[in-house]
Amino acid sequence: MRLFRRRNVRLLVPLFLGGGLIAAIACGGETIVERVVVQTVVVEKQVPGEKVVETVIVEKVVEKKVVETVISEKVVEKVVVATPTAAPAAAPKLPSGSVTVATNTVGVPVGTPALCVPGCGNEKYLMGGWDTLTRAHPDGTTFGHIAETWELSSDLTSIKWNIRPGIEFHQGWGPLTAADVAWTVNEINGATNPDSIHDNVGDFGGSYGETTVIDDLTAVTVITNFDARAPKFLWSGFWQGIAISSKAVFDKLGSDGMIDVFIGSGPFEVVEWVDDSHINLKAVQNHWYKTPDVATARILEVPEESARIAMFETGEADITRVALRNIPKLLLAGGKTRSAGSSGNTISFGGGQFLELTNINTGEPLSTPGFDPSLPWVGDPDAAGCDRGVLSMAVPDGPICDELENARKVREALAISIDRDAINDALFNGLANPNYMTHLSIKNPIFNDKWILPFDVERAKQLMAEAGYADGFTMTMNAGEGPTALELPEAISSIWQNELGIVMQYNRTAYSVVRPTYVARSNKNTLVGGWTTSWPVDWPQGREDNSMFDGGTMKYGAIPFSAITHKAMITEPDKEKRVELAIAWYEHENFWHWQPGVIDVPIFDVYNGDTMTWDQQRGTSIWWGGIAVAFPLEDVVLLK
Amino acid sequence: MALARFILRRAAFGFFAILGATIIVFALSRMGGDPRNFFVGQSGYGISQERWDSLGREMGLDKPVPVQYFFWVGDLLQGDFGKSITTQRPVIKIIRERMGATLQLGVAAWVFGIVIGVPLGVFSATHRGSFWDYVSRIFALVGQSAPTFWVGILLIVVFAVMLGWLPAGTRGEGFPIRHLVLPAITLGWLPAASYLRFTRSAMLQVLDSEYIVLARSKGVSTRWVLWKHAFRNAIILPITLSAFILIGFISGTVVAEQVFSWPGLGRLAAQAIFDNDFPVLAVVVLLTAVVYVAVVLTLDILYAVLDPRIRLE
Repeated sequence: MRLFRRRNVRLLVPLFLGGGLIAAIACGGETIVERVVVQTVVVEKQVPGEKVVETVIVEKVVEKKVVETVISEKVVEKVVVATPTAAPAAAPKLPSGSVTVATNTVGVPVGTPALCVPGCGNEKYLMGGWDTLTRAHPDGTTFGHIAETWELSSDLTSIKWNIRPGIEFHQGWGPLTAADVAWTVNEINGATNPDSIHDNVGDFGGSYGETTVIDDLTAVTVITNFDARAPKFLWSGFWQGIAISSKAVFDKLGSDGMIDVFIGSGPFEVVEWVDDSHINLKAVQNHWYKTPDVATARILEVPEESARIAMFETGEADITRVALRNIPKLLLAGGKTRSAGSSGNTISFGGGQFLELTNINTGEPLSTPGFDPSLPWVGDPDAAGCDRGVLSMAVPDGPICDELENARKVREALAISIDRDAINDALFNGLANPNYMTHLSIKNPIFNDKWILPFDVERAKQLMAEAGYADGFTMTMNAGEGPTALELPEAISSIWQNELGIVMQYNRTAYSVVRPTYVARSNKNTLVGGWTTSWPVDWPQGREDNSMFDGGTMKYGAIPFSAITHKAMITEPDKEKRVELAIAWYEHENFWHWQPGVIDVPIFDVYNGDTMTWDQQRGTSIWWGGIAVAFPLEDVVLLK
Repeated sequence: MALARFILRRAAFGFFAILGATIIVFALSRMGGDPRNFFVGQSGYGISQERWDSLGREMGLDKPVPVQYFFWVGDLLQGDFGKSITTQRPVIKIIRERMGATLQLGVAAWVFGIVIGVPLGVFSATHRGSFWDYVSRIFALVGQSAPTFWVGILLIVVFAVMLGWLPAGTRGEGFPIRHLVLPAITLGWLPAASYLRFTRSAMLQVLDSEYIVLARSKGVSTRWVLWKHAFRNAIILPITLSAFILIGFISGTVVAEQVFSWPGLGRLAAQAIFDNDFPVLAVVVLLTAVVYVAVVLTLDILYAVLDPRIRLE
């Protein structure tokens, strides 16, 4: 068949025709001429890791036998030009129409990567304005995005990024190359840019060194501490990814000049991004990844949920997120739901619970001014007769000292006197699921039924009495400042107050005021925490309860076994071993009850099913709302 | 000379009031915790000690608090209002952007309050005890007692959801008037009620005065008596009130801006509190203080010019 490649065909056709002509002249009459033509056909190609079917135009060589009448001495000939003609392919569909998203915040608009403070980093790729190096698929796989492929070195010390050619920055800022990738990553990374205040500065600085350019389409990032979660973790939109920005913009405008300039390479171009107000987006036609169906999109900041509901009901907003109990209203207004994961709410006894002595990474002493064994739920591992070593085991292999055991009994008593079913019915219309483990859904395949905490007030009273707190004690809980922030803390502690004699005090100060106590490990209050239950089972689940987070918010205490398993899990290349470590952690948690689960609340976004379809390829575990409500807008198809 | 001394004295009071405001604002900001905590994300591994220290140096936190205060005031006097911690943009630029939205809403609500409140007050006073007097007073009662938040939600439900006449929120694109109606009514209802009550009581007081009775007895027409003699004397108090109401609106109205997703100074200030964004909060508070002091000073001077007795006091 190689004989019939196009170039050969061009040579053969005149030869055949010439031969035929000679024969015709010589013989006269009717003859058969073999002719080769080239057709253009359209085939559909499945892109790996994607459900999207891409239309590709290819050339196909076919043979045809035709009968021609050749008249002797007077030849009429049509010359066959073997140039492929374009098939009457359907014209690409132009984006049209508009979609409006009402969400609680539009984040913090900062164009300069190094200055991209909390509220800016994830928002860039979630709105579709920027791209990440890799992309997560809802089925759990990670595939190449800006980086067509990546190669992890066998010694786990570097990642090579093979950049996809042909990606263009918006507004004519040129092609996206390895130089842009290296510059963006180095600007963000605290290890290479000490001035970075990017949202993820510490996460990158803890695991990665410099990124260097090998050639236009190749960059290499040095790994300083291997993290098995990469490249889904920190490199894709699944969790805290990097939005690749244009070095050319920085070179021309500088750091301050780039703050208000929003140039990405995503399927939407940012027309306007205004703090506390809105984002206006415009579809990029013929985008390399996906051309949006909608021509324009507007993301509005509507902090009041009642206003978001009204806007959806009146058609002013097409997509929004509201509390679970308000979703039925929106369904009546034509809304359809899409799952955005779920948030596992836990009660944390991390206040005062700073049990680690050293930083797991550096070995240096860990400052723990908040450590307070006088709190009933905190035991002193250095008290007489205690062995600190039991805190480093999955489950102690023998009896533990009274000091630790009494505190453990208090935590268990409180954990089993939470009426999870009643909370589900009262606050979530019965649509949530009871939860017993640190951000691990009961639906997770590795969840073990023995970890269920049966609701048993009588046993709780007995445990409290055994621990020496038959008459209860006073507990302060950080509840937050929102209008509904007290609902869950009050529901959780209602039986504690009524049956166990616990006097509850709720700290309603703003998170910004409380946060320093988490960072400094001086917090002595309990709190209700929330974290996605959508993370892979082999990832340490949103703990923030160990010295791996030294420098971050250690909201949930400093638990030695958490630090041990956390570090082991992220440095272990073997997934099966990581799962084993996860299970060991859950066994540990089930014994000590540092942070028992309470309720697993499914999160839904609502979109207008009368005006659009949305087969979202939602590969992110960012559940807290904001611009994540709109992700990915390029999958919206308007019903015209 | 007496007037000049009076003005100087008032100006000195104003200066010390602003100085006091700077001290209070600065002290409150330092009591709100270390602003560097904003850079520690709500999750993740946080920032290194080195970066923490360098941020402290950049923000001047490594110096004693009184020194920090003097540096800050020095920068303010030189027109350097600093950068927002949360957005890294110049504060003055942010304030300018938000001022437009706040002025738009504030002036609209102020106009609504005057246009509705003052005529209704006059009407109510001249129809004392009538059905419409009671209607007006109920309007005032509801306006003064209903929380702004509740009024806003109610108006959204009725005029946006049920009737579909007006948008439920946001400033809209190109600032169309229809987006302004519900927030302006929400914000303007309370001052309208105040105007109504003040105007009504002032009118009633004036209408019972001897010179009005004299005018009536001389056969002056009712309209002339009402608007020429009574209203002009009764309106002084509502006008004074309106100046302060306008200042309040200009400095931001958190609740109405929150309910209607209006990107004004009120929400900016509220968010700055939550984020401990000291540079932004300080400038918003200082702006409010300066405007208040300026208006009070102006009113005092006007009073002194118009009424010589005030100088003697």
